[in-house]
Amino acid sequence: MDVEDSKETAASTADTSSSGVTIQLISKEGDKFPVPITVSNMSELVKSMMDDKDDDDDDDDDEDDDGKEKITEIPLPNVKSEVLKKVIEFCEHHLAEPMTEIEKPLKSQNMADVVQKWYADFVDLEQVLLFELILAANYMDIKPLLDLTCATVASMIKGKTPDEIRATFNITNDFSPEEEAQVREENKWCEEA
Amino acid sequence: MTTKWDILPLPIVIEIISWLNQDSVTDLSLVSKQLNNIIANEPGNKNKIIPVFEIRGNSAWKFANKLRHHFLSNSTANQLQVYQLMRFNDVHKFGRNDAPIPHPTQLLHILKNVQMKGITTLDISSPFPTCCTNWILSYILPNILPQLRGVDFSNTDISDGILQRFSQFCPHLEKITLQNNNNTFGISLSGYSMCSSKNLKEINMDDTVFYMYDRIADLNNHQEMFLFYQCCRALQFKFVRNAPPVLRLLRSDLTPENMRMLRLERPGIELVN
Repeated sequence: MDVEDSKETAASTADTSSSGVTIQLISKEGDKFPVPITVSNMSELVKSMMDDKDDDDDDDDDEDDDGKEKITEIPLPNVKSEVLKKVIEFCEHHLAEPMTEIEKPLKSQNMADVVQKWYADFVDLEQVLLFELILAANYMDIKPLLDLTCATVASMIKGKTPDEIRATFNITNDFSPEEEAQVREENKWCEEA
Repeated sequence: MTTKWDILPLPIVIEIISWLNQDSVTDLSLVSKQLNNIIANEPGNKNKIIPVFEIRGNSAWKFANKLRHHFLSNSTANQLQVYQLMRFNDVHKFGRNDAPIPHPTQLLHILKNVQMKGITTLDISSPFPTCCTNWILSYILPNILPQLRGVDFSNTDISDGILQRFSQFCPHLEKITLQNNNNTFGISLSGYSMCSSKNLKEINMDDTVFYMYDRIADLNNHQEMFLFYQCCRALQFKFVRNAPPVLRLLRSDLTPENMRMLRLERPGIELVN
């Protein structure tokens, strides 16, 4: 992945922000992503880390010794640069166009039927990246992103047979035929009358 | 072999399961032992499988005899008590192949002492409107489902008499759904047929034919009367919210909060409590 590109994207957004305050999110690889505080505050984790820092820095002002604006750095050692870039993209868009609440249980296999097109396109990803995005959303505590990504995995399960689900997620069937028959019977008894 | 699922912690897997409907959860439980165990046994998972007893076919004789056979068999008697939802897939076909046509007392005799105490929901609805529902089937079911909480008869033509039997034999009944009922004689508007149901909380009867013997329209001289007044003291909001546009006056025992909501949603209905 071209980290420089992503940094430029994030930085350009930060520059145009009206909030004025910029936070540096630092990925697992050490790449820095400057974002407006309004964006980073979508993460409850970042928000609470900022609150902790504010408590520690009560006696400081907002500028360092040589007069430059002080930029707070938030390390996110569990989030790869590639994933963090996607997280920031989501948060930025969510501020501009909040995601509609997705109804449970999921009504369609097609995410475009249950959420705005931008969000449906956003999660049209390779499975590995999607799963890492789920982990990042969980770690950074961003509920709308966690909802969107988990619902997307659910949409990949919906309407599929057990065999198709195994093939989709590369899961090995460890049931014996007898065990599988027993689970089927426990779940559903089909009577012909 | 490591799968992508393996990187997901348990709470995330449970979160994904929470987005699925019953059919998908059931399919997922057959994918692997690990997923089956999470769905069935993890306390954090609230989206449990509701075990279904599903009936296909067209013979009430066969249904009664097979159920009795399973009930008397050591290998299946206990399993019968596990199921929570009973669903008829071909309700519009039932009775067509029955020769001779059974009398309800014959079927009740076959099913003597047979009870499925785990069943709390009965779905005997039809996917499309039908006017030839096998009333004998509906007649015998209340006797074998003593723990029933909810029943759905939508798109069928069941009568007041059948409702009365469910009301009498299923004392825990809380919810009756009877959308688009096609019975020629209709359902009593006073709720008389459901008067034995002391726990009834929700009635959904959109597009259903009603009749009334009571002078329910004479509101001034009968302050105690409202829709289904003979069965309901806790009428819930859903029914009235979906009432047809011709409804202009409503007396009910709706709560003040529900009345406030109804006034906002349906300003054309005058509440005459």
